Amino acid sequence: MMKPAKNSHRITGLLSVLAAAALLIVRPALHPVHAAAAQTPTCRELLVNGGFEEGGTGWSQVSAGGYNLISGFHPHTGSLGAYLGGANQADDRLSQPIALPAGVVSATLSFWWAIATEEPPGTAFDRLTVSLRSTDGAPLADLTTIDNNAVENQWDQAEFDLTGYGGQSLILEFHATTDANNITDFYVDDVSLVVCPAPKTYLPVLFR
Amino acid sequence: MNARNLRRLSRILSALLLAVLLCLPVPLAQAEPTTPHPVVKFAGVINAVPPAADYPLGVWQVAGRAVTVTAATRVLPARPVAVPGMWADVTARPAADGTLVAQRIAVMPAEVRIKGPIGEKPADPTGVGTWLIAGVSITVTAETRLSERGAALEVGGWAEVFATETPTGLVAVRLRGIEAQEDITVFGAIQSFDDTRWVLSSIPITVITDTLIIGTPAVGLLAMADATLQADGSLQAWRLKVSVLEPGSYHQPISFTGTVEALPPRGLLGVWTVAGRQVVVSAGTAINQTKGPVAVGAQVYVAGWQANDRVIATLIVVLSSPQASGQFVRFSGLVQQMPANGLIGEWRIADRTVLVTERTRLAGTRYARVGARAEVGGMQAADGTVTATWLIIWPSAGGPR
Repeated sequence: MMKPAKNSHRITGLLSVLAAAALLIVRPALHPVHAAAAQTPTCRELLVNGGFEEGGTGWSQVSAGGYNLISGFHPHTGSLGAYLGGANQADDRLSQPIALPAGVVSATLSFWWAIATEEPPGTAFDRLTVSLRSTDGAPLADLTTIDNNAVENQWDQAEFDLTGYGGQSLILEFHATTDANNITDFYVDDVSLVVCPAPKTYLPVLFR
Repeated sequence: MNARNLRRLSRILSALLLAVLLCLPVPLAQAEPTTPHPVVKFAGVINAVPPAADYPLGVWQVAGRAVTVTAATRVLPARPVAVPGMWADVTARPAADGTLVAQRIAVMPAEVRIKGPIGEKPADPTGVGTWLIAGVSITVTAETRLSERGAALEVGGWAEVFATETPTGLVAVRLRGIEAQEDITVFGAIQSFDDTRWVLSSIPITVITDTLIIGTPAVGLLAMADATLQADGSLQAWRLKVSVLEPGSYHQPISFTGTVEALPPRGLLGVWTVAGRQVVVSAGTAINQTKGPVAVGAQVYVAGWQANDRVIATLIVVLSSPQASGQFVRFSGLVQQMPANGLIGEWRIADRTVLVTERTRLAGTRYARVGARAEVGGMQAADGTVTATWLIIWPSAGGPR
């Protein structure tokens, strides 16, 4: 049998750990960017010219049809945005290298997108794939694929947690392909990658 | 510590554990009911939004309906603030007291959308001036954004225009060249409607007894018209679809994709077998064959509703076809030659060879004669021959302009 004084210390310690665990569990799930922004003013934007207002600055673009993928045709905000697809047999790529620092507590990629299409519903004939590649071009992850079945002419925001890629150099790519008829326009704007370093944490002293 | 204290501490620990469980993000007491509420979907004109201090939380009025936006509602886009007159696409659930609680509201600018042939365009090379698209007069200004990436913006070609209503008429915000489509479409807000005429965002649409109306119209709701251009320049709807889904108000929609296993012995109307299901195709069923003609073995998307053991189809889209070859084309012109007997066979229309088959949807056959004006949609093969998926023959004074 344990000594009463030792038992008391152990139980007090156990209560403290349980209380701390409870606080961690019941803490409301906050949006990582917002939470980090509230706690750490050092969050920063990693992408260059995510709103496309400086034209092609920061972006690499390849279009099978030879189109300028930065266009004033249908921006979400400002006067310029990305305009991929929009023609038959389109194969358009818009990319930007990113270097995610190590030790970030959050890295959130977000962008606004919309489509216009002549495709009938039912099958994904035309697609916009958002992916991450290694700097040598090897595919790492497809974050999302938007196709012609999406609701037309409604801007929507997509958001992804890239925290797990901390410490890596990557390429963010938007890749649109369309088939032989019935065109689909893919519009992308206000692309953002906000990273927040780990905040300084102060642990409560639970034991003497 | 004695045994009594240990028991007391054990009770405290149990209470603390219970408190933790109750504070978990999804407490059992607030779990979703096992029977989901029906979802209401509609799109319409925003009549009122909550005060700026509370926005977006509070009660919105959309197409005359009150919708409560809570912290759980997804509002797109979050900024800028919606104002009355803009449009909103609402997905909501009825609360226990009958009020609507929004799950999602997508705010859109009030832009009427028209897809149709370009009848006229201004001489100004910049495009500024008055255009006639699907028979509707549209003003293009220096601020209008144009795209010819999909197709050239030229008379006889097709365009999609996004325009706003102004006191002087429709002013284009964006104008993009597109390929010829099977139908002219107009998407706008219902401003008035009766048995013979609807007005969508200032555009009058003629309604006839054969017009298929999907959904219950109401002023302020958005609607899509599939229409044909008449000789007098007016638009006549063959289908009007109101952007509203009220569970229980009409048949619940279903859709599926499958292979066509059997077709009616003649024509397209009748009962099809698709992926083992009996699908009823009527004159009111829209059949999209821009990806290929209907045939046994074709992959199709079917939308409609279930009626006993059959599916009543409102839309069939050919996704791929074993007979697919070439590109969908649409054109009009004079009938120069017809088959010697009946309508099935080789036609000559607008200097093109047109094959009319048993699967071709025909309209206006009583006007069929050499010299009549006709409009054709179909697949063009490499040799220029068009296998018609549909053919409309107009009265002597009729036809598209």
